[in-house]
Amino acid sequence: MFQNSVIIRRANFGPWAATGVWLGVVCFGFWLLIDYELRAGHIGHVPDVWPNQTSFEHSENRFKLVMFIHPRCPCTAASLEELSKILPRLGVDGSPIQRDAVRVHVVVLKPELTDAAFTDTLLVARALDMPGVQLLFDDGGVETARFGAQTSGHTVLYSPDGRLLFAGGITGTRGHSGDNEGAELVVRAFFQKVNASQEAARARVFGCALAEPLCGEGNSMNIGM
Amino acid sequence: MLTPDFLGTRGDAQVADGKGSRTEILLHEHQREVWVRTDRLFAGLLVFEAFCCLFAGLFITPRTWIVATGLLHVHLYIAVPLSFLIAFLPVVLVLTQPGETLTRHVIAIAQACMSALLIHLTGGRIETHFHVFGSLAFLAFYRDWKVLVTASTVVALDHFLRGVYWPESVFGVISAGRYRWLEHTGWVVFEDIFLMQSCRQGVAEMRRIAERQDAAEDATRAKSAFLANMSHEIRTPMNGIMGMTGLALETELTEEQKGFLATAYGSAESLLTILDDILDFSKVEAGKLEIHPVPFHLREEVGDVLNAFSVRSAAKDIDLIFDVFPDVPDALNGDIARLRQILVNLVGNAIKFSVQGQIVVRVVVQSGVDQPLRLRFDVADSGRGIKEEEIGLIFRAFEQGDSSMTRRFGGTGLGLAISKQLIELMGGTITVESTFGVGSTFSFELPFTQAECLVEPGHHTKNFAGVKALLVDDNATNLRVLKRNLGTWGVEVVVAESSKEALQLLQGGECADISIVLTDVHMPDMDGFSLASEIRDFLPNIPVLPIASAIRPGDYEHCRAIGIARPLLKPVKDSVLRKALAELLGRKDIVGGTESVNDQMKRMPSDYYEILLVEDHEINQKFAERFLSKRGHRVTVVANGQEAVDAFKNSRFDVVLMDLQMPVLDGFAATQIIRGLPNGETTPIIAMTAHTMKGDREKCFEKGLDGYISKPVRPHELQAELLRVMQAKKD
Repeated sequence: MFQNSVIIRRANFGPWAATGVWLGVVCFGFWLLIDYELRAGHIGHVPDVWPNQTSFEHSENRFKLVMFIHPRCPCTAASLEELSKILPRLGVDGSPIQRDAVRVHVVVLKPELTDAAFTDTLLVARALDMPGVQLLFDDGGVETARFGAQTSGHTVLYSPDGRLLFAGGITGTRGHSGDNEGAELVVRAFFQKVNASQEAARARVFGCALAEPLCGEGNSMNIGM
Repeated sequence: MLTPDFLGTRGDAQVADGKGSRTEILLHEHQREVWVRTDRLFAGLLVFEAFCCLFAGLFITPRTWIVATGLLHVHLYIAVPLSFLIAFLPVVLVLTQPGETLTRHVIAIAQACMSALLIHLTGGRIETHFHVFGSLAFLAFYRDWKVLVTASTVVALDHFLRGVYWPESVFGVISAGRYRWLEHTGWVVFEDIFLMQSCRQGVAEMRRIAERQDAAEDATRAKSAFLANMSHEIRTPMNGIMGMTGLALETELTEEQKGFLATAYGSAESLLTILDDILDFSKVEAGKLEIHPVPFHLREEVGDVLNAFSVRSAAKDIDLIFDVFPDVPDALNGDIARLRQILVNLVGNAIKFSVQGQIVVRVVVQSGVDQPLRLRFDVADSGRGIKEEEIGLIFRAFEQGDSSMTRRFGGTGLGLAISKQLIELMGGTITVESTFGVGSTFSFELPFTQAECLVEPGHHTKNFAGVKALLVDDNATNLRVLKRNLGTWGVEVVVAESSKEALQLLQGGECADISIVLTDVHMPDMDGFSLASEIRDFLPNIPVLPIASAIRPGDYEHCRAIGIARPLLKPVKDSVLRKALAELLGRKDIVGGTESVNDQMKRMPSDYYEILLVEDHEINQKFAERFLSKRGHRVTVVANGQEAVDAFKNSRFDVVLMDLQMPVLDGFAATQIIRGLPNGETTPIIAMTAHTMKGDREKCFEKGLDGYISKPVRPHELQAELLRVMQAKKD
């Protein structure tokens, strides 16, 4: 006959404690991942009117879309990706015979005391290959500072008469392409004939700081050429 | 202090009262098997998924999050170790605590986290959401619906948090809608409903199986109890039959009376063999067969087995031949009881399925010179043989080669199955070769060791050098075997295959210096007795030794009338033949050859003991008392445990023989009380019981008894156990 029995387990909190620690670390890992991706960069003072002293080629009666990038920021690949998606929607296809409604510039920061190799990266090459885009190297960051750009991927849109229509980023998160608010605002501002009294649209910008240090600097996955 | 039980773990381990408790234990065992198996599956799956995350991070993420560029973003350096971190604890728990409730819930959490990470790494691709549904389906393998709740909760929480605050990472778009996480969770719950139902059904099926297993175990226990009772009830009267027959055999009897009583004793032994077969089969079924090696004389023991078949073989006119090669050692260690059982089965079958002809039991050394000793036993018959397609069936329980044979030849069909099990248990193998219509040869090999405690009988010694014998037999095999055996003793052998030929040889003067004639009794044309009569006419002084397949009533008188020795029974054991030759040739310096273990024990110096015999069965009392008294011991007989305790208080005994199942006070209780009395601790107590089921012997020793004898008590076993226990006390 079997004895009636109740198996009572002795206290063993080890696995439970380990589970608690493990859960905490996993949650922290997810938080770290998401926090990094959602942390927006700074935006400086962006002039409401197209500055006269700028070195960009003057282009009256055309919108001016300018993106400021750090040549070694890995997050900015997504910004360029988004830019390449926006341009066709703005009618820019790079055809030499067509006169585009938008003048597009990608400004590559070239800090002082850096040589040409600093800007010799895959990212810059990608920008160079984009149709309808004029690439400018900003020695010493003069233009970058002028337009209040402090984060790589910072984008501004000015109307043909020089009014600021949009300032911010065109990616949803850091380094992630895909649907996002900034890109939608750029397109909307372009098509909606914003009047003078209306304030410029703004969006958070995701990318590395245009000042050192850079998030991708020094690691093996550096996108430098 | 108890561990937290909010996952319901304690319920698995708790066993309720009553009959259902065994079912619960069996169910829990089944569930645990499932949990451990599924734990291992998930340990492998999670590690695989971690590598999938690595692959997704390297190759899929750059093409979803940063479409055309295909660049690796630095944030993946967090994602990749995160996947291995997720897999880490589940794998550790599977290795250290497989089957535990916590382990499978941690696995459930890890699976849900892995889904979240994979969905994120693939940019919220809808296809990756199938990982969630796949994971839930896999988790249903546990047949524990609570695990699904854990995993689904994590999935819902993840979809809610990311769906609200970062929809793009889980749904792939920014305009996912505020309640889209609810829609996803709804689908998860939808799947859960069916999976949970499946889990409940799975557990219900497992419970039904456990109930059936419980019922089957109940039936097995009932069968075991029945067998134990049956064994006890049959053995107790058998003890009386065999004991009294044994005692009668020790009195002054005519050879004929001895033969009758020996046959009665043999029949009782056969009945016990059937009983043992049934018990053995029960043990085979339960995997509880045990082997007990003891020292024994091979030729003597196997010869005894074959002699027991002499009447049956003679009735069918079958020559039973025992052919042991000279190089086979005689004093061996092995389980002789099991060897006898195997031989009884094989020889019994051979006789059963043979109409006439011969059966040869051959023993040869199979091992090399420096190898552990292995002997091969062949039992070759000239019976009906076995059809090729039936050979595979014969070692199965309850099967004979042809079902019609059961009706024709009888038998339970257990013998060969048990023999095969016994042989394999002893480290041997059994094979069969057969030609239908010609005969069969069953061969088995067994390992043995040589017994140093026994005296080799010296069957090679040429004690009979100078003796010339005429050997007459119509069976060529018999002639060959006897001629070889006699030759090893130094006898010069002349053979004749018929009585006529023998007479010609003797009358022709070719055997003028013959010392003795050994003749088969049953021969065509002229039988052995007629031949002996003829020989007496012209060679009155030559001893004639007849050898018969069976001794019939009147044979001894016939021999006396002719003036020849009484016949020896085929197959003739070496010891018997040597003794007969020595007597007939007047060689008093030669003893019979091999002494049985019993004989050797009889010769051993022995003290005479004060024995307390505790036995409630009157016939058993009488047998044991007579047997022990004849050997000089003083025996006090009491009928139950209480009387034994009283007797022990009043007198001093050297040893107690204790029956276990008695009225008033049983053997175990009496032993316990005696152990508390003065001298009780040091007095050996031997259990004498008809309980011979597995574990009874061990139980006796656990209960403080010093020895164990099963009923019916064989005189030599009682003597041997008595000597062993008393020797142990002295040591």
